Amino acid sequence: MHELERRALDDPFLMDALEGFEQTTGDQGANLADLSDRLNQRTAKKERRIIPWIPLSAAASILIVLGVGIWFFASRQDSEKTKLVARNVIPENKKQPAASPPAVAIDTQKQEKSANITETDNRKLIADNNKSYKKADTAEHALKEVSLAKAKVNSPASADISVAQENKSPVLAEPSSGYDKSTGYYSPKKDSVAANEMLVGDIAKKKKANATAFKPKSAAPTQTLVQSKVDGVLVIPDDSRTVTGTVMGTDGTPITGATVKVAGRNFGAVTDVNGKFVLPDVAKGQTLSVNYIGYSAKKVKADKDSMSISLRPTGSSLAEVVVTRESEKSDEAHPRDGWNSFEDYLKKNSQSPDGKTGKVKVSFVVAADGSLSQFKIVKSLSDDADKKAISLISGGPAWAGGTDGKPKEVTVSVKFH
Amino acid sequence: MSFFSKPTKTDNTGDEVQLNNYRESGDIAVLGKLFEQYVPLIYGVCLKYLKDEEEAKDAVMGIFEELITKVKQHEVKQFRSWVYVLSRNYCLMQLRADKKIEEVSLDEVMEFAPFLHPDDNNKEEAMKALERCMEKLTSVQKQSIDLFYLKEKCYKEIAEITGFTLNDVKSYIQNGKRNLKICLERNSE
Repeated sequence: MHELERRALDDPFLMDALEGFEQTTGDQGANLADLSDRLNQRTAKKERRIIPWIPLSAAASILIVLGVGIWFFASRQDSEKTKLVARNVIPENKKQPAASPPAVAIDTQKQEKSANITETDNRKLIADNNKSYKKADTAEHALKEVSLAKAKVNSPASADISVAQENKSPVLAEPSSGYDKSTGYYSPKKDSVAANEMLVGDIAKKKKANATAFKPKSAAPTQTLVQSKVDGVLVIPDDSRTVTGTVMGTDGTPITGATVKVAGRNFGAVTDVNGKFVLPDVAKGQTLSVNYIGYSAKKVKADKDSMSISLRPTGSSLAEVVVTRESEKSDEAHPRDGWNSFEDYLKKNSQSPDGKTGKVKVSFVVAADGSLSQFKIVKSLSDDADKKAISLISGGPAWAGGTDGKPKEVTVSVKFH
Repeated sequence: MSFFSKPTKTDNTGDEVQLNNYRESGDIAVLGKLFEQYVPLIYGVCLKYLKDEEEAKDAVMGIFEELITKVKQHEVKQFRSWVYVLSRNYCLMQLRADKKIEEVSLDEVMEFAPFLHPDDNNKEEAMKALERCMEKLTSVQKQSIDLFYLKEKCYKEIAEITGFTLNDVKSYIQNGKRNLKICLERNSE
């Protein structure tokens, strides 16, 4: 012990350790043994068999994910194709919403109204198609039946349809990609919309010829086209259509990312990089609410198919807007209430005293305090006119001097009529 | 402290060899072996600062974890003193994290002056000088130094014999040492 203490005098490490032990009561041997065990455990070599596991499990999980992804993608592609074809043929008859599966609806719709497809209807159908993409899995089976049945009926046309379908299917995929499932909003994809319309037109034409020979799959009553169970997506009544528009700020620059919502419904669109948006299935007279951070929200009625909406930045109290002439430099003298009002004044009072019409140019000096002096006629019209010009200016609205405090020369042109 | 012996004589050169061995192989068992030699000391230091046995044990393991990375990062000239500093810092960090305010009594701080041993040739003279200087000390200092160095008693025993408190004993020894050193230096000028 003494030995330790002695050495501790020269060794701070030992000294600290000794002090630590001094504070304890009881045998520390057990603790030290415990520490020794823990250390051995920590440094023990790990079992070899873990290592082969890691790459194997990683590979397995990647394969599974890929497999699922491929299957998913494939199934979605099919359902989109068949569904779109079916939908496009179905005319809208959306007066009675009901909760039956879409397949049944399609069957019964088909025979009734295949002849009545119009341009706006097509657009609506496309919108419906877009919405119902989510229901790929459930409707897929039913739709396949539909397409088969259709094929039976339209033997001459079916070949054309399938061709048209294939040609357009890459394009058709676009609307789905435009549909951002996470937010429930659309981003406009005008090309695909147009393409869809064409496709719809094609198929619709073909369908018109073969309306009658088709048997309904079930006796269900007339259904609305889409009673999709997707949350937040509703069936749209007949008088609705797609509203497009542009949102911009007060300066005319387009606003990207503004939200255009159908007021009261959880349904809307987001403006693209050009400020344009597309809102399908908007009923007439519905109010749209347009919002963007930093700008005051605006509510507009969806009364036009193509709207132009401008948003005002918040915090700008447009109380009095003073418009100044472009050519005016900041340090020049100018009429205190602005050139516009000054010119208005001149116009009001510029009746020619002697009947002579024309311009009189007057130059004068505006002092720093705004007083006018040194009137000179630069361009004369007539004596009387010149005199009147000078008196108009000197007796007219007050002037503000140059901002640098120096007197400034100003030239004003008075037009007499 | 008689029930175990602290591994006090750790070979410094051996330390360096083991360290390099670890650095090359990356085998923590090697590092563990080296660390094991210092565990009692480190444990003691942790006890001193953390005051709790379980916490001290956890701290020792924590220090080992730090070692694993730090040995590779830093160049270590003297493993012994380096690991001491590391351990102390680790404990202080723990205390800061626990927001405990450590009171370090000034009495406990001992001076560590590297004492250069005098020339052995003049041992006779040195002895004489030492004796003379001893006489110059105060009685308590003289007594404590005498008991500690000459009689080789441990603090506890000295305290028992003299009746001084443990801290006083340490203090007298410390001050006595300093005075002797000054005295001897003066005499050898």
